[in-house]
Amino acid sequence: MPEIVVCFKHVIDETELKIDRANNKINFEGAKTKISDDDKNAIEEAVRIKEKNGGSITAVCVGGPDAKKSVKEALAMGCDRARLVSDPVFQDEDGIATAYVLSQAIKKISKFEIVITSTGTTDSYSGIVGPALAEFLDIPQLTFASKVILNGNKITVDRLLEVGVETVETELPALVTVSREINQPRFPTLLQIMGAGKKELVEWNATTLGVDMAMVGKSGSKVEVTALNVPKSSRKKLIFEGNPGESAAKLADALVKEGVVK
Amino acid sequence: MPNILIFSDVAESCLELVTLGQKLGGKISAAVLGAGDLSLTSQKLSVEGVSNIYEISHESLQNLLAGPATDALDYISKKVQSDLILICSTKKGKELAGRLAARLKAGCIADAMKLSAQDNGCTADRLVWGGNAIATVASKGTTVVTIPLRAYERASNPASPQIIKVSDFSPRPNKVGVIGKKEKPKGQVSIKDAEIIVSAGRGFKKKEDLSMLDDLAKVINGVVGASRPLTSDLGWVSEDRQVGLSGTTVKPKLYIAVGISGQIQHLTGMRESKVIVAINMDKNAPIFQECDYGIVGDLYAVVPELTKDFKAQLGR
Repeated sequence: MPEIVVCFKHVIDETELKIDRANNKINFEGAKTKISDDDKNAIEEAVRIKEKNGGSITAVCVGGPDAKKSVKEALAMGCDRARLVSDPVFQDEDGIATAYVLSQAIKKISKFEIVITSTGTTDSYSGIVGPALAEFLDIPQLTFASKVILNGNKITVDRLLEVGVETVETELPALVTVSREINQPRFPTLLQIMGAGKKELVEWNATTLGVDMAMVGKSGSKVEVTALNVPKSSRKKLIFEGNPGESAAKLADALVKEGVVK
Repeated sequence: MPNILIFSDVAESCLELVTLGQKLGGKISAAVLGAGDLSLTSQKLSVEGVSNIYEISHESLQNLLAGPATDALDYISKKVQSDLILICSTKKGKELAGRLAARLKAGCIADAMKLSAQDNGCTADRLVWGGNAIATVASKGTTVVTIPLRAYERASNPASPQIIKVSDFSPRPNKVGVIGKKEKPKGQVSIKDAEIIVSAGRGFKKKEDLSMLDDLAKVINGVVGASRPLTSDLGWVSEDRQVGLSGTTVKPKLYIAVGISGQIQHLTGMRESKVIVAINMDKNAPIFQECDYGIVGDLYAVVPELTKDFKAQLGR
């Protein structure tokens, strides 16, 4: 029966950000937070694998203390226990450093056979953490999964690539990154939400994990964000509002004049 | 002058990295990986700007799985002492970049725009927060960078770089096997090379309604594309028409986004279009910040009118 680890990120809801274009400012104040969209697919897949094959699921999240809200949601969705890896030291670290921290946390969990992540998170959409985590754990990576089948110690994954589907197979342990297409994440029931509070939630920090401090946090990161700007597009942004017929006529006129429609 | 190593699982796209590498002013080495005879690929990459081509032919590299490909690029990277490793942002490219960066203890920047190289690292812009913000990032030391497809012209002047056939490559044991491949059914038209694309998004309420977009596309000689929700989630449109990060990156002369809000995944796939038009109900949709012309309004009212107007204007 597989021991499953699912990793997810607690992020600011990007659809709720207030963008002040005039002053080139992004206002994070009061912005809602959530489990990163595609990470929910990762959690869902972990739960489905467990439902089919038995085993148990440990949810792992690297984040600040406010990530507890998301951790509880993951537990409500069906994870058995959670590890919240939280330390001010980890702030502003890059994807590679986060992958390293996750790898140290997963190694501390007595046994792991399947590690599941999403393909990318809604905040940065880098897609770095999954593959880097597989490398740090020294296990194969089966990425962009649209289907996962477990057969004893063997895992078979359909990968959704540009040209089509590639089916790959390996022996556990392995890391799977899921495509959003793999499933539809469930909404936990009230009973499950209430039950989540009783599940095991352990907090770990840099010291309990015994991480190499040279590899974590801002100082241990090779990439840092030096500026955050509101996109200034060089586009014309000629916007027509009001009567649809008039707007359409103006647009058709402009495109024909510009010569892009012939 | 940085030592630049370039790689793509699609050889033609690798030529775009040559152009970028030349812009950065580095010495460019190209990696050609695969199984069997790779001379054809090396030949494709024999263009001006490339100093060396490292060819590694090994059974384990047949499908360019991330494990063996990491081993191979790790090997070449050490040979050429690369400062910068540029990889095309295909799916195989992206999964390789993260793993390789972890292996090399290097920095990793995904989907870099405006990349520039410094003495000890590089800087780039990348879209974050669903396309609502641009983060400028700086790396120190060796950096693995993925570059969106079609962001640069393909280098094309034939040349004769030195081709080095690697014979002492010994990868770690490869534990992953490819047991099946199913190619996507090819659509009638390719959105990749289309000059005009009319794309549908979540603003459409049902599949049948897409016919009004077909009508519009027909009048202006365009092809119909779609955003991810319509292809992957709803299955209304075949996946080979999906524009965006997980679909196809397009660069048409005219891109008309209908009922598409403009999330990062989509914007990344079409922002290089020459003229962008947005039609959307929501005045605050991000797409309106990235368009040349926009109509705030109900697509169900606007699209038929637009089709009619084009018909009249173009005499069709």
